[in-house]
Amino acid sequence: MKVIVDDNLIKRLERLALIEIKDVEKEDLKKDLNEIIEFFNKIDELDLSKTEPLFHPIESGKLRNNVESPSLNREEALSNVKRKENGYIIGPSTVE
Amino acid sequence: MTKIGLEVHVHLNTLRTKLFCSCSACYVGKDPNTVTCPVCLGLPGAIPVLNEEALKKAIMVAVALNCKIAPKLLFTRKHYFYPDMAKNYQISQYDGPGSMAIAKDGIVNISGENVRIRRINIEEDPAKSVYPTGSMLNSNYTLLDYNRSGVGLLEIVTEPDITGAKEARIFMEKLRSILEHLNVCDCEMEGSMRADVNISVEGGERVEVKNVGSSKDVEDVIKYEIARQRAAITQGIKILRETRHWDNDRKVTIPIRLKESEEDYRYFPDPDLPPYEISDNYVKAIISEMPELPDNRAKRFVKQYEITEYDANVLVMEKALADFFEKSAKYYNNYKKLANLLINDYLRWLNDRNLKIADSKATPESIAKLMKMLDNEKITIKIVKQILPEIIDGKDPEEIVKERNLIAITDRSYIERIAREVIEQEKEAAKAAKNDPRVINYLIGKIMKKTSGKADPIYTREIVLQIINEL
Ligand SMILES: [Zn+2]
Repeated sequence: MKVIVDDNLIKRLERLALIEIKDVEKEDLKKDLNEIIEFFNKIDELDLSKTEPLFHPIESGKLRNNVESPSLNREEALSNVKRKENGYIIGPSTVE
Repeated sequence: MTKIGLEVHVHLNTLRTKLFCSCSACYVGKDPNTVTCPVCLGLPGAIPVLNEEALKKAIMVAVALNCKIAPKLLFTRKHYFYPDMAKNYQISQYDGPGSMAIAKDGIVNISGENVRIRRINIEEDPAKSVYPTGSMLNSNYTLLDYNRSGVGLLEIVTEPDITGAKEARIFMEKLRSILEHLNVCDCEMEGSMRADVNISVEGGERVEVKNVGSSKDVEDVIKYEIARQRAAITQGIKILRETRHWDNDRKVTIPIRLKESEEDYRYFPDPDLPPYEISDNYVKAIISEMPELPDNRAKRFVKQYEITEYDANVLVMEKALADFFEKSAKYYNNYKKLANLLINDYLRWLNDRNLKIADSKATPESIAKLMKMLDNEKITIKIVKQILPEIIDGKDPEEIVKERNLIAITDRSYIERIAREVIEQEKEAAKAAKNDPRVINYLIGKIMKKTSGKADPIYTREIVLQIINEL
């Protein structure tokens, strides 16, 4: 798959990552992206037509028993939370 | 043609723990953010491990819905930014590279029509959002409770094979009954079964109504949307693809614009969850332990109790009702009459009052006693119907009848005396009754009223006919 690094791509990444990219940052970012893509394009030099894709280095996962263990207490659970209200975490509104 | 597809989310709330961690799955009624751990809070470095029981339940549902089961269990990350998902992806399943749904290509039969099941996914529930104003539409922030985060869900997606509101409701009820028979979900719990409903009418695009809470609401949403979409098209207004929200108080749908668009979830196989092989033997072992399914139970009812197919199907649509029927049948062996009472009187009385079977305090013994008193002509059918609510309230039928002296009047001369009094007052009606059976019923009704429903109905009819013939 050929990826073209242009303003459209930057715009799309901006939206997907929910970050704002300043105009001065855009050119640096394009340069970085091109280098990264070029690095990965090395893979295309190999003949992989007979190779099955590998998604996990480990062949088989494990399952857990349906047995409870104690949860965190609320102070611990919310220790990284900046904005709280009555034991809830405050988050942004979700409709436009 | 109207096309309806459902995406039903079922809580695996009969599991003891959440899907990928050992926090309790029972979060209802607990203080916010008191049932969490690094895994379900989405803290960096925390490793999810699947609950084995969740896999078994998913396979049972797949078998019950006649699906093909995947040879491997694989999980995918579905990325989005939303305050209810701290790690910015939901662990889910997806048909794509290195990933597949636990099951697909199933079929459910709904009163003779097949509804195809596209797929079943195992996924985690996000945290619960609470809105300070009570509504997502006008709250300027969200309160989050992570107790629900990580609770197991099955997402069951149908093809758009459903053609009407009633069929959709029956589908939901049948699915619910299957889930209850398999002990996958306690569907009485609020929010345990939610549906996204996709509806398109001829000439319009697909409209999705999100997060509908019950089978009755699914029916109402579809009726509303079909009417709304058709009216719009008749007026020349285009129905475009959109997402709407069901306002349960006003019984209308309203458009919502969600901040996160669906176009790019950037699915990829979750590296934290290596594949798990689902062998044929593993599936066979699960099938051999599976409880009886509603369709098979209905067939057994027809054979074992010799009730009609219709009655058997109504009984098994609600597991609690079918269980109550079988328990009562141990004490009372006119099964047809029993089924009749439970369906036409007991269930209807509860439904009319929006009560659940679980709200009834009636015991199988008390229902059996009631029916035996009717068979022995100790009480009339009128009295049976009259005192049933008190039996549902937990009272003993024999005591009610004794206390209030409700024993049937079988004394022919007494009934005759009352009948002659009534006919004396209703001379015109009595004449008309000679040619009109409805008027006979009117006269019988009058006699019943005078005897507070206690006059034996067969004797009463005989006596009334005899007196009318004398006129
Ligand atoms: Zn947890």
